[in-house]
Amino acid sequence: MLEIRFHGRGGQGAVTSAELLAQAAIKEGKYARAFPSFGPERRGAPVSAFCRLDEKPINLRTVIKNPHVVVVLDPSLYEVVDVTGGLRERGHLVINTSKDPRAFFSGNLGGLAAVNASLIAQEILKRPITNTVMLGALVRMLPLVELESLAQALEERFNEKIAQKNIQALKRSYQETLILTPEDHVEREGKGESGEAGDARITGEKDRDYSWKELPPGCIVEPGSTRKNLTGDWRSRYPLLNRERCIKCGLCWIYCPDASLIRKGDGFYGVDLNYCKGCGICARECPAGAILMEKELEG
Amino acid sequence: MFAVKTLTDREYLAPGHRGCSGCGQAVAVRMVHKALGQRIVVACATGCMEVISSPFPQSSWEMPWIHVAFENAAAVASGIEAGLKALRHKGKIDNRKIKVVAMAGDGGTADIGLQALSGALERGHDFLYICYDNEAYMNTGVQRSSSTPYGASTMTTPAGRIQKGQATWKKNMMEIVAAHHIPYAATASPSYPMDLLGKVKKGAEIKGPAYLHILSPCPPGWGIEAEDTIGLGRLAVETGAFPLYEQEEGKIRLSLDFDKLIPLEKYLKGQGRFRGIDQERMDYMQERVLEMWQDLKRKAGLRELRPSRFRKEGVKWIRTS
Repeated sequence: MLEIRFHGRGGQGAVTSAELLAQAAIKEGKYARAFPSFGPERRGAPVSAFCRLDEKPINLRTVIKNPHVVVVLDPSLYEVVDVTGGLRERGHLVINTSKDPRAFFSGNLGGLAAVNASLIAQEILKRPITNTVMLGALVRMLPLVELESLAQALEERFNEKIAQKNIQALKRSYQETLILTPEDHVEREGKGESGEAGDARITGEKDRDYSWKELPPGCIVEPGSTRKNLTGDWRSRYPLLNRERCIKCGLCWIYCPDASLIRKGDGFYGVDLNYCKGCGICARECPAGAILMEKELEG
Repeated sequence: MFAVKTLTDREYLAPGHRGCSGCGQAVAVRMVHKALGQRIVVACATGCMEVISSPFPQSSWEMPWIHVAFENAAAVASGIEAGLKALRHKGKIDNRKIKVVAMAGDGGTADIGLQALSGALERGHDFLYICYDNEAYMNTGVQRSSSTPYGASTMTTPAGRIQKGQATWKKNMMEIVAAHHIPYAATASPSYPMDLLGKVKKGAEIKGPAYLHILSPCPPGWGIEAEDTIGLGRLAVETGAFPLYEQEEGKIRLSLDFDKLIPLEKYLKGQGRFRGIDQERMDYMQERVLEMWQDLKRKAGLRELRPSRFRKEGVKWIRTS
């Protein structure tokens, strides 16, 4: 059995890509199972989806802790989620990056496929939905299913126009994917560079399981305790405040859904990037045009 | 009266909640609680707001807050109000006022919680009921509610070749509530913060039941960009689709009166949920919105709109790019 884990953000289609892969495998007479896992998080929040492929029926319905392959749909996730957590020895990693993929290679990987999926999705689909693009990269590295079966699955799932665009994106990423093998890595090691950049860091509080003995009685919880949940990592854009144009009207502050604008002593406003989800309401509503939304840099 | 500068810096809805980026309801809730302060008890029905603000073991709320089932926010609020009265009577708490607030979404108000709300209003409990109307069951993935507007595509009323989205007109909660002859009912929008804050304050100070209906635009459910939430809420008011008014002791007062309305088309075109709506349906909606607006003006004792009723452009400071 082959286990694949997809990491994405809500709205990018991680769940759909796991399902498409499973459908394509079923078309080829294989057995497959796909399902997502997410909490109450919404659009923009990190989510994961799972897919199992096998030659015989699959009865396992649990989340995948030790995948053979990890597919990461969003470049900003390396900072936030331990994407390679539990990845098997000599496992494969498929990433979406605009940078040099060698920086993401670490010693125990069996292979790495890199593609600038955000760019392809933006050019062909006109929106940052990277799921089908990443599938192209995945089947380029590991021929799990034929490209044709994936195209068929797409045609069945979407209407004609959207399916054709997605097939185009799929084929283009199949062409443009860069594959790195451990041999390439050894070469690079010889040059004395370090392979640290691929290590994921965790900024938020780690998920943990609660025993019923630890639960507070009557479900009374600490007021305002969601402050521990830093939603800043959902963001793909951040507001940039221009003090010279600011007229201190405070509309950005009152319209912020996440209370991320902070009133300062001198009447100006600052942004609390721990919680800002980058919605852009402040920039849109600022009557003086003093706020600009800047793209968050990758990594 | 409120002004941005005199509002409290304290956040009663703590950041870190799991609302979508650009959530209109989160904006509204933040404003409402800035006006209400901390001497309140909140009963919150199931819905988006409950799910995003209280994932165990955390909570966003900085005041006594209780999560109740979908249908009984008003009933629980009645119970709390009666309980406080009893405690005060027995001398166990002092005489300072503690306002009881019930909050629910449109599903928890217009569909599932309607009988509890009606009962509580009829019994005349001293509480404020706030309905955050995002016009569908957004929490479970956009299913229609009786508050979904005509023509809106949802998961259960998908726009197809023959039927274009919701086939029925939005339920008029304000008239249902007004039929209970309660002292105060009003509609509000987070796009008009000072108006909203004033209405919350008024509703909280009035003795007896008060009802507040707040339109809260929802980026994923309405098919809009996160940054357009506030602008679209403003457009809903300026096209007459969601008029802002108060009903006090049976008298209607328009909070915002326009000589001319913006064509409804402009409001509909900006939203993914009305995509594919045809001209015939659009004309029907425009007619009906105008009728409602004229009716409201008549009831408020104002002069009706004259035939050249459309304003050419929006107010200057809406950027429409």
